[in-house]
Amino acid sequence: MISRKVSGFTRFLAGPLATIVGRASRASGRGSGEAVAGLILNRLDPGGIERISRDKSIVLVSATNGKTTTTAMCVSVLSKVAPVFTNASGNNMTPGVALALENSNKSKIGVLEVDEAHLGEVARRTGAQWLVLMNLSRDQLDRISEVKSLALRWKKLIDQNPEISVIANVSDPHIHFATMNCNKVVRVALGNQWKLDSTVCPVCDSALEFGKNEFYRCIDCDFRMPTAKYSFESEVLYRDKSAIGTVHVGLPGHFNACNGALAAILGIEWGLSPEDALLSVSKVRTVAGRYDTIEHKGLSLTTLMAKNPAGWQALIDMLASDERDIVIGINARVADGRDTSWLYDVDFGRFSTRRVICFGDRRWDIGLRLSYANVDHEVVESFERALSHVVGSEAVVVGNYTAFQDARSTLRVSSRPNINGGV
Amino acid sequence: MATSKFKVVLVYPDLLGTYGDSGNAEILVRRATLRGVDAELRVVHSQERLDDSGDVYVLGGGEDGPQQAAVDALRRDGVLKEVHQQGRQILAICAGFQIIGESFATSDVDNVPGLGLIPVVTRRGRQRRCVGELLCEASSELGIALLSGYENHGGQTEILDGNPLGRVIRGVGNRYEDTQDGYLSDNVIASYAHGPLLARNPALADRLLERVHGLELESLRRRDIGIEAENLRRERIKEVQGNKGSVRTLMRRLTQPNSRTV
Repeated sequence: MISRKVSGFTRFLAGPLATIVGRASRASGRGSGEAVAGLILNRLDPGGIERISRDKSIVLVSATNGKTTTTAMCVSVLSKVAPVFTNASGNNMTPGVALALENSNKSKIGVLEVDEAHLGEVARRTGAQWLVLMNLSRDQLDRISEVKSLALRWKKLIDQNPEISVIANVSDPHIHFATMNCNKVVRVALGNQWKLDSTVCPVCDSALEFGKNEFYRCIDCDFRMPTAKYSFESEVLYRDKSAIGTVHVGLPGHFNACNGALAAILGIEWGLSPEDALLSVSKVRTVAGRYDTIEHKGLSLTTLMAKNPAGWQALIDMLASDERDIVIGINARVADGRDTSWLYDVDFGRFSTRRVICFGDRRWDIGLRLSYANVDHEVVESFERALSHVVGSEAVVVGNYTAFQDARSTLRVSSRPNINGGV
Repeated sequence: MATSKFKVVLVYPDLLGTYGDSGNAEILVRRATLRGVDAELRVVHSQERLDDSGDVYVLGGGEDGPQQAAVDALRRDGVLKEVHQQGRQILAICAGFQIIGESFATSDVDNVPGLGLIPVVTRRGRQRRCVGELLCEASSELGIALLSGYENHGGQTEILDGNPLGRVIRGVGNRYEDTQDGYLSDNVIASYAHGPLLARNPALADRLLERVHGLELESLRRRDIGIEAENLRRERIKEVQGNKGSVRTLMRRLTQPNSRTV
């Protein structure tokens, strides 16, 4: 794919140079420095990914929602097998993978979070042996393709690489579609809360019908939910319909229990006992600052990230029983997606009994959205100002990608992940 | 006014709802309610028969597969064509706009027959997909200076007969070859702009309400909803105009006495 000739000397320099520039960038306050370091590496040592990953086992984790958390849980689980290297959350495109490999040292197992649009390239270049695929739904439509074409790209990747094993959440019709011809697929039925992107059959575009237990089938062709090897109900994990353990996760929300179940299944398929795999999953407490609770100027703040309708729906379900004020930050920078129209796909009306305070570059978008949903709220120009409007001593802070990072940096806490499974 | 009824029908949000366009229906109902109108939102999914007693029918954007499924279902159902002939209002965005035209293209098929309600055809784009902020000078009969939105489409739409909703200042709109966006007739407002369109352009929502009720509406300017909408509009328009030096022209346009912006 990259035909430029690169001398051995340049290649030799690539690693150290990337490290220096990365550190300089970080020291100058331009961010974590990982993005720029990865870019340099990928440019100066274009064959590096292929060369370094040759003698490693690579697991790639991808989805619209839950990539970072599931990756952290898979790291925790596979660390039982051998030392594991991973990449930084958000640095999940090709340069981020190049950087993770460069820093992998002697670790032989890599668990890497990969952006859904970059999965094909990263899988081919790393020769990944395993994929963990959770869900696909609408997100950043200005950058990432519409859901169906993304599923088609995943399907092509898997069809063309029959040696890849996949842990697939087949409750999501697009994930089943992508893996339907795969011989080495481990099918898991996790349930699927977000159905708005699965209204038509991925094969023939006729209507999809949903029945009991999330079962789906096409009204015209024979596409339907397959039998799954593993299933997950009321926090109990089943293999071939027999219970093998209970999933306890240290993170809130049913969706995180689902992420934990998938990570445990990866471990079990790698030969760990269900007990060991489930125990490792339960040790993950906070992931790149998400679900973290911070004491700040007399306030107890829980920081959460939600960046698309499906992610928001899961959070709204989780926060429904709560009474804390909610501070919402919305930006629309490149990493967030430039288009904010998705705010109208979120059922914010369920916050009608709560107080909401909005900040961020696109605070008027979210403020107006809340007005139309009849939710009591204020719009303020900064996160600091938002905190001063909180009533009581506790609040939940929810941001989309860069708004979350901005909030975390105002709180002077990192939103960088715990690399090397430091969980 | 307080006794009249107003029904908005949201058409197939399961198929035509990719870009938050259901917000347009929600906004119409809310702005009517704030004026004391007894307003109702009726959501009709693709497996149901379309409600034939709506005042406004709202269609949003969708991917190729759902778009095809939607046009098939609407043709079988027949109600949308009927109510259009009776002069009921239609607000159609993106894929919804393409569907009510004579034909459109998906990535597999070149010439999918549309419902033929308006004389436009949509062909597959050969150039880059049109993605980004869209700013238009609205058709003068609307009495609105500027329309702001966000477009994301591949299809290129040509108006065979009739008028666009606006003239494009920034962005692409209907197609690269001209500077038009959408379509405007007595009972159709169509556009490539989501955002959703009526959130960023509340005056357009009010024009639509006035078309149904034939009355000029009380301004919501001083209410929170009006202030937030105005702030959002200002911020978006400023962002799009950037430093191109046209802010002054813009301000003049916005402050013209007969350009009702909220």
